[in-house]
Amino acid sequence: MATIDYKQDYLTQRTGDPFADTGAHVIQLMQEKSPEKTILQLIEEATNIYVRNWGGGINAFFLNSKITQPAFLGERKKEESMAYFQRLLSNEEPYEEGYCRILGQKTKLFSTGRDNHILAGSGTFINFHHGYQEGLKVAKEVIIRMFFVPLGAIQLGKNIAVIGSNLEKVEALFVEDIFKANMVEVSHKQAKGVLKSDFTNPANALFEFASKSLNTSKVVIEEDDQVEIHLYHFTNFGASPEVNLYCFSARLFAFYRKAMKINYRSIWQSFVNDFYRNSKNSGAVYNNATNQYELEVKKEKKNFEYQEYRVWFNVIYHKLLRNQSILKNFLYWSSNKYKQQAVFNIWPVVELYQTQLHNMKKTTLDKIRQIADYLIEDEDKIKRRLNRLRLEVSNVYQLKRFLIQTIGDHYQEKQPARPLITLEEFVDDLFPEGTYGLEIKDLLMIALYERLCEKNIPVELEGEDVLEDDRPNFN
Amino acid sequence: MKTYRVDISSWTASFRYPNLISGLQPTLEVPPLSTVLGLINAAAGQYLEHEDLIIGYYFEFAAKATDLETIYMIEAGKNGQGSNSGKSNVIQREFLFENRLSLYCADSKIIDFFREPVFPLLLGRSGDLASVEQIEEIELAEIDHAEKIRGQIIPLKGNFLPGVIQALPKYFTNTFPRQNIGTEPFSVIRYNVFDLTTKIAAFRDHTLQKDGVDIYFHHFKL
Repeated sequence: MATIDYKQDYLTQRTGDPFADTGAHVIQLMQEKSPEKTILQLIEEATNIYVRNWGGGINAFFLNSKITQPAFLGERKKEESMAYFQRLLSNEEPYEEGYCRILGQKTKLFSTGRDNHILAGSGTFINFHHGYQEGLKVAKEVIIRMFFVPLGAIQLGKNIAVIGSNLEKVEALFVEDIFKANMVEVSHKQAKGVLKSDFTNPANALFEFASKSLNTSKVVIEEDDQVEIHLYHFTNFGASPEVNLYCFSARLFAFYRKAMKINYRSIWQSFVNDFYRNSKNSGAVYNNATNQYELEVKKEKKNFEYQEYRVWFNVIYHKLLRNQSILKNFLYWSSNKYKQQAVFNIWPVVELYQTQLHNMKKTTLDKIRQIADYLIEDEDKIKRRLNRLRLEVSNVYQLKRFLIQTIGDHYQEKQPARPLITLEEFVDDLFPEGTYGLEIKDLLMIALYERLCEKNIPVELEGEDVLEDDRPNFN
Repeated sequence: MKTYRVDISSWTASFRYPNLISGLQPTLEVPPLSTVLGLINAAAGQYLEHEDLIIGYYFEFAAKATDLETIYMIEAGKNGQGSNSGKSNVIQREFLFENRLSLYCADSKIIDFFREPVFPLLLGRSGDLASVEQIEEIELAEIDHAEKIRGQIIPLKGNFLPGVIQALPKYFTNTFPRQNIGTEPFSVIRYNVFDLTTKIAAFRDHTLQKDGVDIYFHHFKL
């Protein structure tokens, strides 16, 4: 019987192709579980799962393959599949010599299409390939790797998710978790198909995965590890094969790692938890004290635990993944906390966010806090100052006028040796060329709300803040 | 180090993930080495056999968007030839807007090709026409542990830098059909990331971005 040594590099070495590398991780895990088995026996084991446990349901990966082909029923799927891999291993399938597009090695190349490769395009339409070749030409090891991908991928909503990372240990962790969950279901005879994620959207799933990679003892992420995670959300099914890429950037990972540390964690979590939304449970409000969402329907109260609402849409995760600012969300959250007169301490998280993800200088943030402290010093003037900032400052010019007026007030009131804001601080810290603008106002407002709550100073707010559509639900 | 820099710009660009064919065709945010070497061949008007080429490049863009594009799919006929039968379809293609490619090479022969390019220069598809903005000789400072690695691809092995990881070719053969050469995993690092910690030796071009960019030089032998 033809076989190849699966311990050799070509079956398991890192290629950079997310699908080939996922398949390689699965092969390694199966080999660790059954070191005595040949690669053909491992293929047979996977085939048994696909055919007997999953009923051939790997259509999202392979279109019209030996397993998903509707013409083949029951055990015939397995027989045809095994016969194909035997021919492939013994070079009985048509091949040509050349360089593999994924491994980069000069070797025997075999044609791939949507039946044995993920998102390789149809062999029918030849102008998508070099020189009208019928499909991508790759080494047999790549085709074998692809076959194992379903055991290391997860269904996320309608499509399949595969995770890639610059650090192999992070990538391997994701595959290992899925593979082991699959094996548990198979051993309990509960496996029905590709493993389904509790999540339906990639943003929540990526944050959950990042959180898991930071909290597991299986891998150690060092302080200086620069971790980036990519999620390939795809389907190879039917007439619309498609792929969407989501990136959890190294910078975001570094921020998130710090936000999940003991000194930030509870406030960050409390902030993020306020921003879950679910159309089926619209009107549900977050209760920070119980860490539950509460919904009243026809005078009946319904509570949702974290395990339930963690799969709801979360605008914070959504924005962070798209590199969009969440500063407005911090502001509205602070403003609502202020209206509730609840003491909160979001500033350290805001500071972390601004320094890590927006390269803002610590000196800028310190200066903003110092200005806020001055603005609330005189209780008689707080209301006028706060409302003026809220309602009359809507562009950078007005903000600069407000700050200059504040410098003047400070000078008149205190006759200080040093102004509240020096020219250097005004130019270099608050308004460096082409940078922050109205972000400074938002930060100043956050600092003011927090300080007013801390000092228990209620101020009558005039007018309404303009809230965005993605405002959180507050109780 | 004294070297030459060729600045090339284009309105649009699109660099496909080499092994993904899908209804949404994403673009890499930095071209692979094979695209850059192909660009040199277009300028030279011939296939160049590189015995020992040392080359670096930097790529930036103003925006990324998705456009609808009509594609024509030709069915296979007998003997692997294209048939007369085909059909059209619509796909979504990502593209990059307002692009700049800076090419660094100390070999004046390579640089001279860009003074009078033989074939049109393209950054991706046939419609992504590019033009040479300027060619100049510049001095780059050597950096032992590069931090400002941006707008480039860096070999994954030994570096493991954050970025989209992809198996990318370095060059293509001069045969029919063409074959990719030197495929290996690379970190594709977009132009607007923050500083990284690396052990990579590079050369800093102070004129790029606000604080300069560290250019990694690929050593390519055919």
